[in-house]
Formats: sequence, C-alpha cells, structure tokens
Amino acid sequence: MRKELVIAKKEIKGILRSKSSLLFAGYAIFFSFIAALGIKKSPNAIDTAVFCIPIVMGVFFAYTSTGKIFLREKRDKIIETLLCAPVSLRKIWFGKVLGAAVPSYVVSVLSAVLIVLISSFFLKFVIFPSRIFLLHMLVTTPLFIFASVGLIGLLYLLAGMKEVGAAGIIIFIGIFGALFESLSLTGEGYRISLSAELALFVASLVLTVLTGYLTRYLSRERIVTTIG
Amino acid sequence: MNVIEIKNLTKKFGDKVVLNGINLDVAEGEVFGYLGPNGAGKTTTMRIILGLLNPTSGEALVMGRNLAEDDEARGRIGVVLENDGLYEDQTAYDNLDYYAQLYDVSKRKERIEELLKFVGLYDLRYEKVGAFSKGMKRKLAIARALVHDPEILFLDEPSAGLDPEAQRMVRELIVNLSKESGKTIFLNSHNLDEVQRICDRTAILHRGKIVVCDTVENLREKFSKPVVLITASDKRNTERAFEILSSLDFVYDCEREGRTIKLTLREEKQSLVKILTEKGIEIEEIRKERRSLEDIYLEIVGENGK
Repeated sequence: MRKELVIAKKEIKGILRSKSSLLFAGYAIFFSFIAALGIKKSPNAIDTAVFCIPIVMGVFFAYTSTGKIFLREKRDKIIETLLCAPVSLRKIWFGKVLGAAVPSYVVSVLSAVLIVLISSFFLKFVIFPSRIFLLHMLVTTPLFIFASVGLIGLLYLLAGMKEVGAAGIIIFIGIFGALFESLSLTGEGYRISLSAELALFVASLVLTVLTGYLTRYLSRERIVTTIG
Repeated sequence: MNVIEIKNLTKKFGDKVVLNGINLDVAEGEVFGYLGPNGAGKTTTMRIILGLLNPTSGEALVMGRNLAEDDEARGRIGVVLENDGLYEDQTAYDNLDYYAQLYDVSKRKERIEELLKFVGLYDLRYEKVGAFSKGMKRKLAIARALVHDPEILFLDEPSAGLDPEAQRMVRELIVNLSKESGKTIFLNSHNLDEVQRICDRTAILHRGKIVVCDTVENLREKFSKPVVLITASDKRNTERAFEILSSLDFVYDCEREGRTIKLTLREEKQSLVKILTEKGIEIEEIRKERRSLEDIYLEIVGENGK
C-alpha cells in the first residue's frame, strides 16, 4: 500500500496546487449559497440539496482531476517512465485513482458543510439533513466518486488518444445521468428516501466492482501502444 | 556474465514485422550501443526488454528475469526514454524525490543532493523543471534514472534533440558513469559519433534484423577495405603512379586529388611502395587511413538496404 500512497500523495499535491482547485472552491461556495437560498424558503429541501450538490461537485471535480492525472501523463508520454518503476500496474492505477478521489471527496464534503452552514445562517437556526445523509456522505459519495474516477482513469489508460475524449464524455454523461435518475426517487416534500439512497449505494457498488473487474485488462503494452 | 540476453526475439504489429529473430547478449559492465536508422526497431527492442511491450515470440531477459513480470527486477534498472519522463510542474528535487520513494531509496535527501551535484543542477533544485533547457532536462532524467543506484542503465537516444554543447555534457556524463561506477549501459542511438565515442560494443539493427554485432574496432577490421593515401613528389610522378595503381588487380578504387592518390584495396598489400619505386616513381608520403564507424554503418545499411 505504501507505493500507492506515494503516487496518491504526489497527485493530491499536484491537484491542490492547480488553479482548478481554487475554481472548484468558488463553485462550492456559489452552489451552496444558491442551495441555501432555496432551503431558506423550504427547509425540507436540505435533503435534496445535500443528496445532490456535494456528489455532483465531487464527481465533476474528479472528472477534471482524472484528465490531469491520467490523460496528460499519457499524452506527454511521462507514463512510460513510470511503467518502468518497480510498481505493479494495478498499484499505479490505484494510487492515481486515490489521488484524484480524495480531493474530490473533500470538495464534496466541503459543499455539504457549506450548504448546512449557509442555510443555518439564513434560517437563524442550525438545520441538519435527515440521518440518511450520514450514509450518503460517509459511504455512498466516496464510493461513487472512487468508482467514477477509477472507471474514467481506466478508460484513459486503455483507449487510444483519439477515442479517449469522446469516450470520457460518454462515461461522464452516463455517471451524471445515473445521479439525476436517482433523484427521481426523492420522496415527498423533498425528503430523500432510504430506497433512493440504497439505489445509489448499490449503483456505486456495482460500478466499483465493474471497475475492479475491468482492471484485469490493464496492460503495459496496451498503454504504450495507445500513446500519441 | 551476460546481464541482458535476447533470444530469437520477434515482434509483429499486425502483419508488420518490426523485429525479426533478434539474438543479443550484453555483458556486465559493458557500454553497449544499439545502432540503427529511424524506424529500424531500436525503441521496440528496448520497450520489450523493459517489459513495456510483449514479444510475439522469443524472450528478452535482464539478469535472467523478465521485467514485464518482475517488479523487483525492474527496481534494479534505470531508464531514460526518448521522452524525459519528468513532471514539468514540479521542481527538480520533487521529481527525484518521487522516484526515490517509488524505488525505496534510503537516505533520500542525501542521495538526491549527491545526484543533483553530479549532474550540475544542485543550485536549481527548487526550480520547476518546465523552465529548464532540453539539456538540463536530459541531465535531470539521467539523475532520476540513477536515484536508486541501478545495476543497468537503459538510455534511448540520450543526446537526441540537444545542441552540441549539451550533447557533449550528456556524453561525458555517460562516460563518467561507465568508468567510475562500472554500470552496464544499453544505449539506443542513431548517432554514430556518440556510439563510437562511448560504446565498448555495438550492434547495427536494420529492418528488424541485427546485421552486425561487435566492438567498434573489430567492425573497422572486418568491414573496412584497406584505404591507403599516397602522395607523390610532383605532378608527373602523380600521373604515372595513378596510371600504374589503377591497373592493379587488388585495387578496388583509385581517386586522385592534387598530388594525393586515395586507394581502396580489395585486400591488405605490403608491396605498394616496392611496385612504385621499381617503376622509378618518387613518393613523398604513404599512409593508411582509418575508416569511421559512419563509413562502415553506411556500407552495411546500404548493402542491406539494396
């Protein structure tokens, strides 16, 4: 696990130093503010807001980070040197996924905290989402982000440089489609039902297992021959 | 002891045969030049040795192991590929530190500082690599390849794209490495001058086949027809000598420039002076010419290219 962490640490440092981190911090504040305005009118909407906005922010941030971590390294042929290091291909992939997923999850948590804080400020009392929120933020969201990053990262490693852009967008749309579809399971009065949360959790789990299964197709030859 | 062994290595991409039954051994401590024109298959060979590509048939072993399947063995080699593999948004120090951690280097700070001093980049250690010149990047890439003190160093076109001064610096660095630390170096190059200066032994790859593999000196011996330069005392002697020499059976080619006649012989002959002096020709100077690796290379590639 140590080498995966070395790779993850390097990627996290790179992401934190990038301008997109600041941009996403700005987005998090902006969308939390907009959500808080809605919650001010209808306090029950906090469930929908914390169900949707943090995970969307996290996945969107993950999508841009994954491009930097996987695609740029492949496009610039830096990855060839990394593939010669005494680290297995799966460990390289896992380290990079971790490196993109951790900051994305932080963005997600930050969005959720901001929604609660700003809403509480507007309402002049402390408002908390329903208890399902804990399952959502502590289990489903990180799992969903990890699976999304893993799948997109895998695709970036395996696909040719021409196909990769289009395929990345298709996966991105698919992930967001699944997210918004799960919103349709929202219960009455904007309450998030347990079934909605479980549906998203199962989807995340399936995505994670599928991604894990697909890693068996990772090969150095495939990566090297699809560069440039 | 051979540390690199390539046996009947063939690589096809679809129907295209890139490498066709290559056999090669590199001994411990040797600086081996793998020479060939662009597209000959040098990088493909190196990628197969490094485990980045799978052979269609045959095998490439490093220290008796297949690098594609052996993480531990990969930890005993260093690589500088055609692309430097450096992170331009990071400092020189951070680039080395990243690989030092991946290679489990103990006393990382001391090792990194030692290497940065060795390649002359210590004062720029906290500068971002993106601001470096090509030559500086190549030196840093060599330092990165050395961070874990590998037993074998693989260099793919180490001086390609560098200005002459940077080329010289990189070459000196490689020579120092070979002399001071006795590392085995496998060098891909299409630069004949570089191979001639650095390498103990060389193989010439052409159209996926090794057409020759020997020391530079032996190649000169084997492939160069003897060349003799004869300078006659005056114009009249030059004309007469040219006439006589052109008619000799063992003379392959005869050219004249001023008072100097350049003879390419089919075989070594000691009797040239005797032949000319017996005919009363006055000779001012006679000497043998050494052929460069470039002459030999062009001859080999030319012949095989026909």
